[in-house]
Amino acid sequence: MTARRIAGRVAANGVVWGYAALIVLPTLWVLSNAFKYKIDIITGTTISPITWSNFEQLLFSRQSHFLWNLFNSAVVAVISTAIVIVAATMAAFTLGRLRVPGWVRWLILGWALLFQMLPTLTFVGSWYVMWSAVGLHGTYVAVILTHVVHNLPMGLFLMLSFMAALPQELFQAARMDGCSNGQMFWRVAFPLVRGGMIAATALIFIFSWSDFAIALALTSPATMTAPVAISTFAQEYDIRYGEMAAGTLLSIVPALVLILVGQRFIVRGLLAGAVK
Amino acid sequence: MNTTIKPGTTARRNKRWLVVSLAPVALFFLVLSGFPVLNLLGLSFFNVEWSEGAADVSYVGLENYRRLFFQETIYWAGVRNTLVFAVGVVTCQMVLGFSMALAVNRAGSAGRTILTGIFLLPIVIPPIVIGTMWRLVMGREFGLANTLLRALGLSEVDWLGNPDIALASVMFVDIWHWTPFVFLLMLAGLEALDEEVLDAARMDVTGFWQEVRHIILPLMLPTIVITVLFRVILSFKVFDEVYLLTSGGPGTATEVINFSIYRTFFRQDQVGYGSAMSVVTLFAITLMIILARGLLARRKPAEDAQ
Amino acid sequence: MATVTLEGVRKSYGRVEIIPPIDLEIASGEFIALVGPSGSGKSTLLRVIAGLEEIDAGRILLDGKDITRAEPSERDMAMVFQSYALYPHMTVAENMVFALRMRGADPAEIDRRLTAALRMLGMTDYANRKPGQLSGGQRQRVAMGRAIVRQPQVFLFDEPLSNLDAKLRAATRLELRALHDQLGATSIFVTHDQIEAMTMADRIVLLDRGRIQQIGTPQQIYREPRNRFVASFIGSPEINMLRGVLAPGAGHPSFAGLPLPDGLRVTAERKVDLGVRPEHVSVWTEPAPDRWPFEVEAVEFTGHDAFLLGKTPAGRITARVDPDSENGLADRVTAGQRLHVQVQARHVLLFDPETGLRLPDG
Repeated sequence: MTARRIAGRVAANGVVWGYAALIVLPTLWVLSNAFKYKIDIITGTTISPITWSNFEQLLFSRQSHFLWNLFNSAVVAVISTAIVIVAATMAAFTLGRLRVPGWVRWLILGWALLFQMLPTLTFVGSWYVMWSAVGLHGTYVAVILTHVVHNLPMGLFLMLSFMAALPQELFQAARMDGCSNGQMFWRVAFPLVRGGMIAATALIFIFSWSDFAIALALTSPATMTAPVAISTFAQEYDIRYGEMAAGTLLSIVPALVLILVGQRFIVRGLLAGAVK
Repeated sequence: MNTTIKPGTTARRNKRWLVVSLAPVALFFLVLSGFPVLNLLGLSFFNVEWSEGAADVSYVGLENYRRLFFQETIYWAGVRNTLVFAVGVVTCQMVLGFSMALAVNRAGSAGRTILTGIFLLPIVIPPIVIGTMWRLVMGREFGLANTLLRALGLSEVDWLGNPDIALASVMFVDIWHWTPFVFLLMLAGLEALDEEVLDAARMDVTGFWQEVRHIILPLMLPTIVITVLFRVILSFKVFDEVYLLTSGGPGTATEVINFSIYRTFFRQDQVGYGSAMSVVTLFAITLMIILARGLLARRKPAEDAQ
Repeated sequence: MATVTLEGVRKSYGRVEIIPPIDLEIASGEFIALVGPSGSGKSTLLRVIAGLEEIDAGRILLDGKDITRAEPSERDMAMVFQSYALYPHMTVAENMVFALRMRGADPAEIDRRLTAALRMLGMTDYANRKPGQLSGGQRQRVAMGRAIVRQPQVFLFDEPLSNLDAKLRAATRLELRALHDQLGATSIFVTHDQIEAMTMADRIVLLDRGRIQQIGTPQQIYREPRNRFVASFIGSPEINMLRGVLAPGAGHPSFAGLPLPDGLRVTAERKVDLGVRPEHVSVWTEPAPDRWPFEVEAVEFTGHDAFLLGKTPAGRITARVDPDSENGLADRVTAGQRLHVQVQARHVLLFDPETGLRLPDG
């Protein structure tokens, strides 16, 4: 190993792990705040007695409904993700592997691409007005369905890339065996893209869980999701640092779990969607 | 058992499948993303006042637009900020992300899996939570950053309250947020390059920078261009972090388009005016997207010739 | 023009030793072929010489100068890759002059060399095309041109013909060798195709699992293989290899109980691997004391050869028949037919069954 090579390796590792530290250290610091007394947070002591009081305040006190907020987030994320995956997988199969009139494909995919890139906030006002007009503002239905349409483009493009990766011969063979479109989907495509579906589910769940703008506009105190709840901690004059940190920790849990368990899936999904 | 299928059955079933599989997606798009645009357009010609829970709607024609273009200042400050923001963050993300990807691609790195896992964190943490994290770090009195500065004997900085650096602070957070994603994309792109061509380059060039400038960058150009375009347009969506870090302040230092729209709709209850803002924003960004696609389309024939 | 010397060169990937310590001396202006089956380490060896891989031990010398630590671009060697590795974003001309430009060569000199190389390869009209617009054969020429323009001391070829179709391959073989002669370069050529090696090389280095099995001229390798591996690898169709007991006999020596014609001196009984090439097995319709019974299983007619594959008591063998011989045997023979073969003792090669090494005759 030449000296130059070694120096190069050290430098590269230094930069990259330096950035990793930049990611990990602030995160850890914030998470550690979740366990500190307010006085310790304020004075900035690094090593301080551990307390669960923030969590108690957050989850069980009368001023905070965070447990309920987490539950809402979960309900919305699970249901909307399920709908997205089902709809997107079927549509991806049809658009990706069947003969469809060119204008249909162009319209759906073109709109999906456009819609995905436009700022969510520009639609939020209209969604607010629409759901209020039918008296569904603040209901689960409103948030769930809006999350569905919001994440549908990503789901569509992800599943498209997975569908496109399947070998053509399989479908040709199925065709010759007399399969109809629906049968081809259920018997050929669906079993083979299960891995992709898991990747897509993981990503879309995270994006639904993370959503703030839509939930902010469409939820009521009863259906408030975790991200919105967290934002309220920073609104008041007296910032509730401890609870904010505790809420942060709890909100990161799904993401952390997913990384530990399904890192490969997430990377797969991200790269598939981005290289589209 | 009858193994023949009645003629016409399969064709009908196939047609039915086409409809059934595409209907959900089409319906969602139509009702919840297509119609809202029309809704916005319509509302933008009205003035909507909420009084006693009921809506008082009055037609005002192009008044909202006139006000937007000739009287509004905050929104346009937001536009300027958003543009500065977009260009600034994407440049930094690309430079940092590409450099790191190049470093890792060349020299390898220990513990790739752990590294990738860590780099995924900013992407999967809810943006609002990223906002709270950095709010805690950048807080003037109790933030980590200032605590460290004080410990080193330096004076504290008002990261989020100082109008001159607030936007930079918000940009910093966004760069922190998305550089790992750019890194992963660039790394995947670098690893997809033809090994043989890179070997040939090693025999021809006399240094690392020559290799980068003449071989790697040109070969990566398609990936880089697409990434840049996507990231620029996507950075126009910034909202969550701004909401939590600064709420658009101090003054209009960190005002961004989305926040203007949000405030108009939900804090000022001006539905008509907010709709006009939304329509103009949608129009402008759609135009940008079309231009970007045009740019990409023009490059593609040049690439396909290779 | 330069000599290339490898001293004790060793390379491992992790715990697997790809190349055990190798010594090799390549003369200036020589065309040497590194041949072997896949996994034999020949490509690795080439890449090590090029500097694309590092070695774990040993030295590499170019004209006596130690280049072991030198970067690939500093070794004054040019390489032609298997898939040509042309820069897709550059034109043919830019591809070819890239290395010179990177070294800041004189533009006039660059131009001169470019024009000469283009003419030599017949690619002058294609100078401004991009690789994507060229056919496989044309791309191969550009790859060659890229190497020629640099006027290096050593040319390295990594299976450059294997992606061409058969006809083009034969023609390009001749051209490549002609170019080598014209340029007077030292060339190291890696291939898995023994015919390429045999037809093009001054000397052949035969490798198996990283170890050099034999170094020699094509004639030496063909007629005097050092071991069983070399004998089997070189020669198409493959040499007949039979295992049995060689015994001196009253009058004639015998093999596996079958009589052998004169020509072999056998003093004691021993177990051997007997190798005889198809062209050294003659076929007869009538039996004779030194002929073996032969039941034909298949006939392969290639145009200028006919090969009979069949069974003998000693094992299966392939025999060559001249299709143009007067008895017209090649056209008449059918599967299942019983004939007689005679092994030409003068051309028999004997190998030790344990070590595989060739035994001196007798």
